[in-house]
Amino acid sequence: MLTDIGQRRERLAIPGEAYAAFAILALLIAVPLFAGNAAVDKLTTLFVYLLLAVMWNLLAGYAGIVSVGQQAFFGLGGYFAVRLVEAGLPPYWAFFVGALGVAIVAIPISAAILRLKGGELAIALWVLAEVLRLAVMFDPLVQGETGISLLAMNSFDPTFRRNLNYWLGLAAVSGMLVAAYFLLRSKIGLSAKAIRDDEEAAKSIGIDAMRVKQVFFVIAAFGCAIAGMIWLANTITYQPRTNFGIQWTVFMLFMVLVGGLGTFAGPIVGAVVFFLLQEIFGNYGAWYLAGLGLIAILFASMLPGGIMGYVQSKTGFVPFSDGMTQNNRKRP
Amino acid sequence: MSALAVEAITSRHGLLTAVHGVSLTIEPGEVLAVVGANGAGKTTLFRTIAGLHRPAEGAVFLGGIDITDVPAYGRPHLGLSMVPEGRRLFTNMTVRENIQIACEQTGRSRKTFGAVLDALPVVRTLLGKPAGGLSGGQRQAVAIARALVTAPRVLLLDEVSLGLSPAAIDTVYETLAALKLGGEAAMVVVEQDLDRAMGFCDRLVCMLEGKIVLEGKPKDLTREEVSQAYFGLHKGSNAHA
Amino acid sequence: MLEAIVQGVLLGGYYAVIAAGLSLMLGVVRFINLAHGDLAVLGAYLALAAIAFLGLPVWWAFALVLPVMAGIGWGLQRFLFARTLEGGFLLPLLATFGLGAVLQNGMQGIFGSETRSLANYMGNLSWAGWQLPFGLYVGVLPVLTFAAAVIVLGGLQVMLSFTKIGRAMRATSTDPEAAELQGVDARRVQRVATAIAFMLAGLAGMFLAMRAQVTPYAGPAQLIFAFQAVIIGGIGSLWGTLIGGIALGVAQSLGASISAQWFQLAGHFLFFVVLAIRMSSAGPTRERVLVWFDRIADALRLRTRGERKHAD
Repeated sequence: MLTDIGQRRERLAIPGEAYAAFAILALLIAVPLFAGNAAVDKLTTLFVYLLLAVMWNLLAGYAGIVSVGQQAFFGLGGYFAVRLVEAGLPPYWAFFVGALGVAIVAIPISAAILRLKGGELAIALWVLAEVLRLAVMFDPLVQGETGISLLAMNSFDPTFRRNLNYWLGLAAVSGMLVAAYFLLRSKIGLSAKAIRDDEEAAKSIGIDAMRVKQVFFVIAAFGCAIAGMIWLANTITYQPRTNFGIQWTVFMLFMVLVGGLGTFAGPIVGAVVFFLLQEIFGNYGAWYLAGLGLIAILFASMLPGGIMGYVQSKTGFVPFSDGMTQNNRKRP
Repeated sequence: MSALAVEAITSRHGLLTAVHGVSLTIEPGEVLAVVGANGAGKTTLFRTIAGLHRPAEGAVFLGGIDITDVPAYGRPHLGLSMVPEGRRLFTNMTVRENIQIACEQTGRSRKTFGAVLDALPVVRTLLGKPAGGLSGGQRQAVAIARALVTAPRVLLLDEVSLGLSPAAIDTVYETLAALKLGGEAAMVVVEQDLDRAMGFCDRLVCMLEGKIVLEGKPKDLTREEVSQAYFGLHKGSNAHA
Repeated sequence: MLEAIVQGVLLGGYYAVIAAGLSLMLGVVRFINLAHGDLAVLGAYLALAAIAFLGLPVWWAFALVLPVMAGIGWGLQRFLFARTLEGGFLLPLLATFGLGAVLQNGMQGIFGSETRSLANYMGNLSWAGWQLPFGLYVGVLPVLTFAAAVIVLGGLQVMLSFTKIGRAMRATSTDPEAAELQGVDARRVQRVATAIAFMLAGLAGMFLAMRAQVTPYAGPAQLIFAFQAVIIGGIGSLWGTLIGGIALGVAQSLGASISAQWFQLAGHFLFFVVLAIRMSSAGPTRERVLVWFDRIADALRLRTRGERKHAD
């Protein structure tokens, strides 16, 4: 571990991957100028998936937190937005303030719940999501199961709204990817990797494991809330059962496991794969979802490193390397 | 025929080679002491012999039979038993149950159980107690009883005296000495205390960085020689490698 | 109020059955099977299928489901869970979560989304009951379920305490490697434990479908309840699952007397309260609980101070 830090490649010069990323970003920014409405809508959905996958990877891949309750923040974000709009805030401002609110709420939650470990933590978060869903249903505004439509969004021109959602989604994804990139190279990121490899040893050299996990947890909560906002902006309707649905976590798990848990590019690859599968097989309903579960099982048992883990171990190419991931993937 | 033979064993933890081409032979009834500093590879060697660690190279023979591919749980049946470092009793079970498990899993009779209790009278007084509440010396006695009840032909004892009070160490060694006089079973002990090891064993090997650097009978070795080998100062330390 | 408490206690019997399997796997195989609830629902659907497609009499169908569930558990432990367990604590969670998705959606694909119940095949069992004093009405089925829970837990207790495989399970749950050194094939023991856990899940699922309607997506909620019963009762304690199940059942039952939403919320709150107490430094370790009992006993003058047994 310590030798890894010593060998950490310094990459101050802008590498080829960054140029490629800028090129893709430029292309994506321009998409609404020439693509049809349907394509813009679909890509916005992809951005939601990307955000979720990147956030879940931060949690499970780097901080060792398996959350099956991440829909709590996705759904809570939407609820805050609905409430803030009702209170008179303009919709897009409400999204931003609401996501910040979720991050703030996540701080005390993290302090309490991260004392648990492994499967206990996973289920406790799930219960938390259920509690939030049930609590939100008490709000007369949400009308129980019925939900509510964000009618304020109708004041915008549909095309303008669609494009704005798209650009916001793109900005959120790129922003969070850049943030994740620097987070993983920061002192906190290094500490997280030390904890992942050996929590006791990390504590013995003075790393505050709880604090490090909290940082990851709150960032992931914020990211998932943003994803919930973009979803809400796109669909306009808010329903507790959908927005707090366990399927969001199923999707996150699938994308990260298939793409490559604990690799930087893994969740991006996983989100694209998931998006394509959704496009091709989405009409098969339950059998499609069962297939996703089966693929997740196969990856967990046959290829736990996911696609990027496999590519990295075969070719040695680590896109956006944090300089350590590669060594740590192949554990004896 | 040797009781236990280890042939050119190499064991790795990931990229770290903990045991490097070690060969050893133990005759029936013999007591071998393995000494060496922390990290010398003693425990890994023991774990490899017991089947808890798969060797990268080499083979283990028990009574002339190749047991390299026998899983750890199959080895006590064949007469190889180990008292692991830290004793590792089942703390949520009684002393009786701890010993009973080993007895019934290896298909030994109640008579064996009784014989072991006769050999270790202190354990008989503890039978009904929860294993979690015992003192260090009592735990070691129970762990030895648990191993003996499988009627081993080869008994491995890792870090015999680690964590025990001087009085408890004396008791444990008195017990082991009695067993030594008793019969055919060979014993291999890991012991940090060089004087203790030299006083107890028939033959001694010293490990350093995964290799055996010194081997001989206690009467042929001086305390000085062993001590130098232990710390890697021995003149002939490269001769074996 | 009294009615709600009695119903809650009986409901706790069901939770104990489903929680016992989860707890057994957590103890012996050392991971939380996130598909446990879905497996319970699978048990119910297998029973329904055996009745509808094979034309088996109800009790024969139930008898058939149990070994089938055990076989599925054995196979999954052998070919899936054991593999993922080698890769750390994350992979079994991910794999069983994926398994849950397969089961839920697979059952949806095969059986459709309409609710189903075994009650139709049970004659009057699902609504028969006894009228007791104080206006209490107690159903036969909840009482049967509760009795089954006591029998199941008692059976597990006997197995764990007095049989060779039971001792091997306890040894494996404490220290798998040390167990191997005593000649225990820990992987086989884990397969047996998983098989039993799956059987208990199937049994619980059939009880669920006898007293209520089930859908293919009913599993996750059952997992949550089972897990809550395990936590409330104390991890690793067999009879604790019954106490935890009863506490959960009573909380839910009292909650339900306020509104349908409070049925679940009350259970969730109890769960978090117990978690909070357990995690806080003032939490009830075994010693503390015994000291508390002593203080209570002293206060009630049930015995004199000199007779204290546990306080140190």
